[in-house]
Amino acid sequence: MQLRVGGKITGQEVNLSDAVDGTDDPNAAVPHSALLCRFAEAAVMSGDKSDLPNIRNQIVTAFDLAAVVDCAGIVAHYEKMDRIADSIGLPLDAPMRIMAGDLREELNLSRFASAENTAGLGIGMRLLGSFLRRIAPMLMKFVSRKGKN
Amino acid sequence: MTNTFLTDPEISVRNDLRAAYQKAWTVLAEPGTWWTGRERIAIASEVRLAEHCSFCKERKAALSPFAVKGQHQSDGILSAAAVELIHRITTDPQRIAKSMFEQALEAGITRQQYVELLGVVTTVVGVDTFCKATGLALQKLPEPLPGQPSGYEPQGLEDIGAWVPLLSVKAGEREGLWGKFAPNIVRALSSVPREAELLLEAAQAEYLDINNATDMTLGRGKMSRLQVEILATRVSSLNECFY
Repeated sequence: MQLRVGGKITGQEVNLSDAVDGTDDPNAAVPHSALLCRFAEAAVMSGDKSDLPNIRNQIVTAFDLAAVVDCAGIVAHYEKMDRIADSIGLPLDAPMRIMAGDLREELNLSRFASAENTAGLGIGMRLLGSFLRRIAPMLMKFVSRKGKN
Repeated sequence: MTNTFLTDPEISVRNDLRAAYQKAWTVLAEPGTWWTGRERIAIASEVRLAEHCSFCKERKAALSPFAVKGQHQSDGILSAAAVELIHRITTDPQRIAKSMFEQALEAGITRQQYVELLGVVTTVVGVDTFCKATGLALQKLPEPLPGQPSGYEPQGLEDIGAWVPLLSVKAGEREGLWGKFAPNIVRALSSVPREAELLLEAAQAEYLDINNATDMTLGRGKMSRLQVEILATRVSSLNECFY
């Protein structure tokens, strides 16, 4: 959801399956997205660390040395948060559930066992979601401004 | 004495990230809210053992985690139920199920102990992942400190449909954990506020300023917000995390 809204705000059409499935799309709208996916895969799959030094070097070339630390921090953060969310059966927040309802089908996310923690949407909520998605970038900007005040 | 935590001549770790990880690492050894320092370090130690546990590997390869019978490689300090939880959360996050939580309760682990255990497990998973990803050596676990758990029970818990209660947004604001707005994930460990506090402090340094997470123009270093979210989405997809 963050990725999709971010793409709309910055005017970049993000193919979400690039990140969900790790697809190596040479025309990806987000620069170095395939490299970032490979870094995440190598860091998370503890049985396959062999390519990490090479990928780290590519990160340094594409960004800088500090980006290796930044990438590692983000991967570490999500390794924690995913386990926490799933270990307490955390449901999606209501606004997110409504706005991202279409992604559940589009990306076949119901295949994940943790999808059980969040109820699906009825027809009314789907329609509301469809409307909210159109104004999502504006909503995010509003929430962001409100959070800062 | 020179501070050698997360230091390496090859790679420089940002001060804010190093400080957050060092604090979380130090607190691992202190008496917690529901576990002693010795128990917390035993939990941390089990996370490391789980990485090499042959039963976990066998189970991970099986179609169902219940299809394989066996015993975890463990240092034997904690109960079998606690060891099962730690190994499962560490090595098989894709198949975490409510039955795992219910079995832990049946075995006598309280909801609060469960949440604190989760905080300790994920602290070690996080710092170890960071070390492996950057090529840094794994940090030695600290020596446990004496003392009794505080048993602190916060006021203002609510049921949002998760397996454990969470602090309401207002109650968390009173506890100084967050501002006026807090999504469910920020409140996840809040029934044990100390764990939530450590998690959120680390999150600021690892990911983004949580209070400004809806600002899609904020990135991290040379990475744009979209690049940050590509990494985040790929990790969550590998972990099969719907949230």
